[in-house]
Amino acid sequence: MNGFAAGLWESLVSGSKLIWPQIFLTFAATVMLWPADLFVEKARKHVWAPITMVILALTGALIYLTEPGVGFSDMYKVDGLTKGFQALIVLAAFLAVMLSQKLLDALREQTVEYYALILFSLVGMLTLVGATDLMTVYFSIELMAICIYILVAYLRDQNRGVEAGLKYFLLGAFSSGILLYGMSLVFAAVGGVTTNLAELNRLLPVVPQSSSLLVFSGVLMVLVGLCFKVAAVPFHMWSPDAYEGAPTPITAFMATAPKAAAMGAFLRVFGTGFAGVSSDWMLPLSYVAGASMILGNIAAVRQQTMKRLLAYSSIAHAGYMLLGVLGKGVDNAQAVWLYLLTYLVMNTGAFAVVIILQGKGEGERIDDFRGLAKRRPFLAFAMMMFLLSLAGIPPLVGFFGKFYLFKLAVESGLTTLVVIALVTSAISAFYYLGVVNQMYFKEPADLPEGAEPEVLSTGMTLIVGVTCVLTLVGTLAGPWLVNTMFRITWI
Amino acid sequence: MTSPISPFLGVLVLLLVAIALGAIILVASGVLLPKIKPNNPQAEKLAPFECGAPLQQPNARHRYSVKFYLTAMLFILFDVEAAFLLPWAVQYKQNLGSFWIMLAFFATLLVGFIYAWGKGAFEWEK
Amino acid sequence: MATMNAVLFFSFLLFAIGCAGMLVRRNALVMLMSAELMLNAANLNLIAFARHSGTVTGQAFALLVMGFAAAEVAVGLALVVALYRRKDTVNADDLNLLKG
Repeated sequence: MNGFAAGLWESLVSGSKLIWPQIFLTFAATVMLWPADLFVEKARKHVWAPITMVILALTGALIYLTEPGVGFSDMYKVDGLTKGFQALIVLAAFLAVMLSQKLLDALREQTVEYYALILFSLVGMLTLVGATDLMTVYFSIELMAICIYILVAYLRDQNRGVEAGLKYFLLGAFSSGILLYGMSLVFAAVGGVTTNLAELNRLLPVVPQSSSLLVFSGVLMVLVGLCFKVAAVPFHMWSPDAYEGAPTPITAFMATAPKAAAMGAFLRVFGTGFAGVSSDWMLPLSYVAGASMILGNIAAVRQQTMKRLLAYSSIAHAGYMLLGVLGKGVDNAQAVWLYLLTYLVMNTGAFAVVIILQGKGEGERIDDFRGLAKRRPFLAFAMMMFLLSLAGIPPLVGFFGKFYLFKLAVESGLTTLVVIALVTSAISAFYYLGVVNQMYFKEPADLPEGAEPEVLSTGMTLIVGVTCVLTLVGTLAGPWLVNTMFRITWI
Repeated sequence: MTSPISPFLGVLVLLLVAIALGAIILVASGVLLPKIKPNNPQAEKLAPFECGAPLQQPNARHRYSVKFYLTAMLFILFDVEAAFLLPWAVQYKQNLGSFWIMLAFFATLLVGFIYAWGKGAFEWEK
Repeated sequence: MATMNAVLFFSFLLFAIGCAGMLVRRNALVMLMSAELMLNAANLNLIAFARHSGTVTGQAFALLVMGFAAAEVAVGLALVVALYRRKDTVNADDLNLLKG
């Protein structure tokens, strides 16, 4: 082996320490697809769910054990931000797998591909939050997105699923084209020498005057591409449709994990790479954030189905989270992480309730929640807690995350946006409480005679119970949460 | 021989040869061939040649078998992965160690190939 | 820089055609092609400027983009075929079950 090959080999070996979680996931998912799946009979495919959970738990352990560092010619970096967001994403995937069981069993759609695709998309997301090079950013986004297109259309016998998948795909392909073109313009603006974010941060502010238009349009296009991925207004069109058409556990997954990953990428790309040219993107991004809060919350008011309501609410939440990107700095990144953690808890809980009700052919329409308190008091109470927490009502955990984020935003001088955020939070309370009103103060439409309440499976009870408790007492764990949060730092 | 157009002499020769060849082929097939081949026209012989789908169909917007799409999709994937061979091949002599890296890459591709095979994606008649 | 400006102009033209195709055409297959055109516009920039600066980053980027574009097309075609089987159409305007 000559010098170059030895150097390549050395960098591979030293870099691979950083990506053990991804290597493990890729290997596990590949072996699951082939040859392991050959030995599982068709009727017993559900054994893949516990195996996937074990794999995810091991991945979590690997993430915990990974030493911070930089590798692959500065293309990938493990630091507190990476590890914190990776933990969030793996947790979201774990919950999604648990949530999936009921639906997949009922439809007899258990296949190994479902779990393998979740794991492959996870590889993309885990890489995305540690990406410190535009190349890594683009590839991990694509890997994540391609897997999720398929998952959205997973129930290919349902018109809605296929339609949602194709819509999501077309808009996703459009956005990734814009993203890539923006990256190529940025690359062109610095003279075609680097795509590394740290290097770009050094070079972008000093490009010659003749290239400043390239920088501006490039940064703006990258912004648009990433806004598509977090579903921020006006690039949100795909999200309600994809959320409604996708299998509900995948909707819960999409609302949390890819959003967390894309937020991580946002913090990385705009916090470190384009920080030097922040005058180019601050104003457009603050418009996007404001518009997401306003439009997301207002459009949610007139929704008739629960999944669409939660979709629009997630658009609004993306708007709130963008405040953390606008605030810049490491403390804002921490606040975004905390917000995503609380959002993960309450959102998963809400979707779990929707999935439980869906099993009996309801839960899609908001009218189906009518009189839920009389029929299923526990579920109704849990749902109320989740919704109030999403609205940010004080003692609940959602308030905690929101408070932290808004406080930092005010300190960063984003007063106008915070005022918009507070006003729209009040609007959001209106539609969340509308659902609570349906559950507690409306009579059930027509209770089928003799229909005994379905026994909840242990997994679903566990998810709803745990998330409900966390939503209730999460604030008590505030000091611990803040302490954990402060470990989310950049190196 | 210092005329500015002298470097293009070869092009001129090529052009002349091309024109001549075209003329010869045209003349040969149009004039000579009818004199020596048996005159026996059939429907199949007169039809323009096209691969794959039968040509005798009322409109062009008919449904293709989904088998074509499946094969095409798999072809695209494995075809484009082969593009990664090019930069590897260009620098291979300076970097013999990269052979193993390429082997690992192809092992990964092979798993995908075997998976598709196992799923019956290559069986034309099912 | 004159040639570089020409490259930028040409790639922008490609990108604009792709963008317009995405927005104007309603056939899912044509939209797929337009998306590919957008990626190729970016590839052109990447390769030209990598060549211009004499580094390989952009070339490697473009090569990998090609691989990903193929994967994306495969998934897109699969979705289009799935839709065609269900609804006998590849027209994006017929995707009208989900609204609101």
